Amino acid sequence: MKRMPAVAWKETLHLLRDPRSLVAALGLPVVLLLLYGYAVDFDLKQLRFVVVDQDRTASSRQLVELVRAVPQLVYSGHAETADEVERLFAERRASMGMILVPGFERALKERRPAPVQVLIDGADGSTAQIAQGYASGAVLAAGQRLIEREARAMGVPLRQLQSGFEVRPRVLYNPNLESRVFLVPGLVGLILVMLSASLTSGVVVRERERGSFELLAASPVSSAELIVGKLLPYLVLATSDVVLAVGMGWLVFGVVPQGNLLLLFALSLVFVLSALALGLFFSCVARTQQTAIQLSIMATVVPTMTLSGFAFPVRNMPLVLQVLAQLLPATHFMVISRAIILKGVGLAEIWPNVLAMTVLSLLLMRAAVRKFRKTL
Amino acid sequence: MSAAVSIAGLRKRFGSHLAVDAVDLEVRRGEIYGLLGPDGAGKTTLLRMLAGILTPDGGAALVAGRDVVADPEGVKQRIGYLSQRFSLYGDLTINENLEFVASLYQTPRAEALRLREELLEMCGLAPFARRQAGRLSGGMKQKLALCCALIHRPEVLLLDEPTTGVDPVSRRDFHRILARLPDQGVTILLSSPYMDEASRCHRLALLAHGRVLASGTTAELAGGVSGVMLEVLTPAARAASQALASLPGHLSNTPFGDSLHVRLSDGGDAVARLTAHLQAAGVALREVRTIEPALEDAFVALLQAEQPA
Repeated sequence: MKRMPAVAWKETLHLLRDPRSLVAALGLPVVLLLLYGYAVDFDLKQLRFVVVDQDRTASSRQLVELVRAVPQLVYSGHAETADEVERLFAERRASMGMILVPGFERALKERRPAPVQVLIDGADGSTAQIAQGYASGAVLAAGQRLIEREARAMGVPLRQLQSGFEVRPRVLYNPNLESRVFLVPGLVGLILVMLSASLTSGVVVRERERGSFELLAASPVSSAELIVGKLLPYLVLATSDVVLAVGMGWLVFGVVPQGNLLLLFALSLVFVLSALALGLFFSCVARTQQTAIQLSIMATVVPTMTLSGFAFPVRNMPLVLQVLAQLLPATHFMVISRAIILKGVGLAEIWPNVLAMTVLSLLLMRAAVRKFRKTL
Repeated sequence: MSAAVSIAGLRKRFGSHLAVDAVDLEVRRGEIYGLLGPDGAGKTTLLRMLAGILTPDGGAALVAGRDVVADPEGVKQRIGYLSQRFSLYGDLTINENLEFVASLYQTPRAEALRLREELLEMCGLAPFARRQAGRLSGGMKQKLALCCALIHRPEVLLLDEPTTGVDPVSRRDFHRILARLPDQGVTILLSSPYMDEASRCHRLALLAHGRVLASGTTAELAGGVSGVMLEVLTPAARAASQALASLPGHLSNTPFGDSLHVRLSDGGDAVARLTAHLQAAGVALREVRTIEPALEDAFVALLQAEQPA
């Protein structure tokens, strides 16, 4: 490993001399997070809702009034049926519907859970989950005030009427959304895998293309020194991306990390190793930088977006895909990242995922190292 | 004293193509040895095997006392290798390239610094030490590559067409630098497609189709040409060349600038025979005279003997 620092330093110089990759590495997380951040913010201010009031009672009208008073929800009329709501979704004239079925008031008076159905336009998956949580919250809050009024009118203590209200949210078109804000932890994973794999995809094939690989091959430097030296700068860069992404999530999304950040960073490094290994692997296999970068993006971004649970919960997938998802380091990192950032849990709760991710990372690294040849 | 490079029966095959076919060669210490041959003769393959970056299919080679098959890493530490393609980093400066290569070879830092100054001075690159290699001219790039190949004080220097694509002035410069190295104990084995470059080597091997056709000094090689060499000055070189095919004893003819080099088998007055034949064919002649065969004539003769048309 004596020659490793020289290789790492040389690779760092390449990075510094080619501002494009640096800009990509540090700019992309910022851009992605800002895009998501602003998209969500923008949509919530414009959450237009329609009401289907089939109960037509004083209580149902009161609830509608209370929901209309929520500043972020924009009332855009009444509809007769759920089908009509769906049509309004399709025409993009509303993205939320509140349905009060007959018997709402009676249930309330009889202190049974009073059903309120909330429909969310899930076509825009990235914002629907936010909208869903938001709408449910708004309706629940309005319902709470309604119950308070009822209690006062009926002259009974509030306690007796508690939990007499039930919101049943349903997401149309895209029913698999979870109601929790899980975008930021997921984005951290997506950004890491995308950047690490695409950046390292060049490290070997670039030398081959430029002809400098012959210099390395003819020198006494060992394969191990080359691999470690080449990956080290990217590992450092990826670490700064984790810090950047978590920090931005905090500032832009207000997603305050609940758990141990050092643990998150350490596990991110293990995760990054798997992405670096993939990049290195394709760099060894491909003949041109173009092919290498395309292969590594295909192999990382696509499965991470679709299979890892970044957007769609793994548990709702067909069994075959669930098994496949378990083979992706990203799937485990999504769980880990969400657990640490959102739930604030420690190793004790997530160790199976940590173990699986570590094993997968090591296996990938082994495959890449085996593909690496210090010959022409 | 043992040879710097000794090769016995070295072979390399790519698919059905025999790139290097049972090559035997010996390069003495402190010698500048040239591998001369056209593209595809197997020069690059041979040098890569000697550099330890390509495994031979058969035969043996010792470079700087190390076996290229058994101990390629030992060979690598003791040689400097300059590939045909520019293989340094265009986005790194001259100094950075040299530092990187020096640390690949674990040259002690103080010595690397001293050597760097010395080499840059020798090659006239010192004023450009902080310039990125990609912004150097072709000749300067080759000098930088040479410096990189020398930064760990190798015993043997393997240069693969070091001056191909370099302008004539830079090429002369480059050879002036090379000429000083044997005194410092460096043995040089270089390949070239250029005949004129051969004259700068102490000894040569003529390579074609993966085989060594002949080896020796320029004089030895040229002297080994059988028959008589004639130079024919004529305004109608093409017609002369065609007419010569029917001359008894005609072995070969090759255009050389505006003249024709003709090789005839020994016997009789060659000049008279040839003049009579061409005049009978109606070819205008300016002058016909016998000449000493040059290296190129030797090459043509050898190639012809190699595969009789």
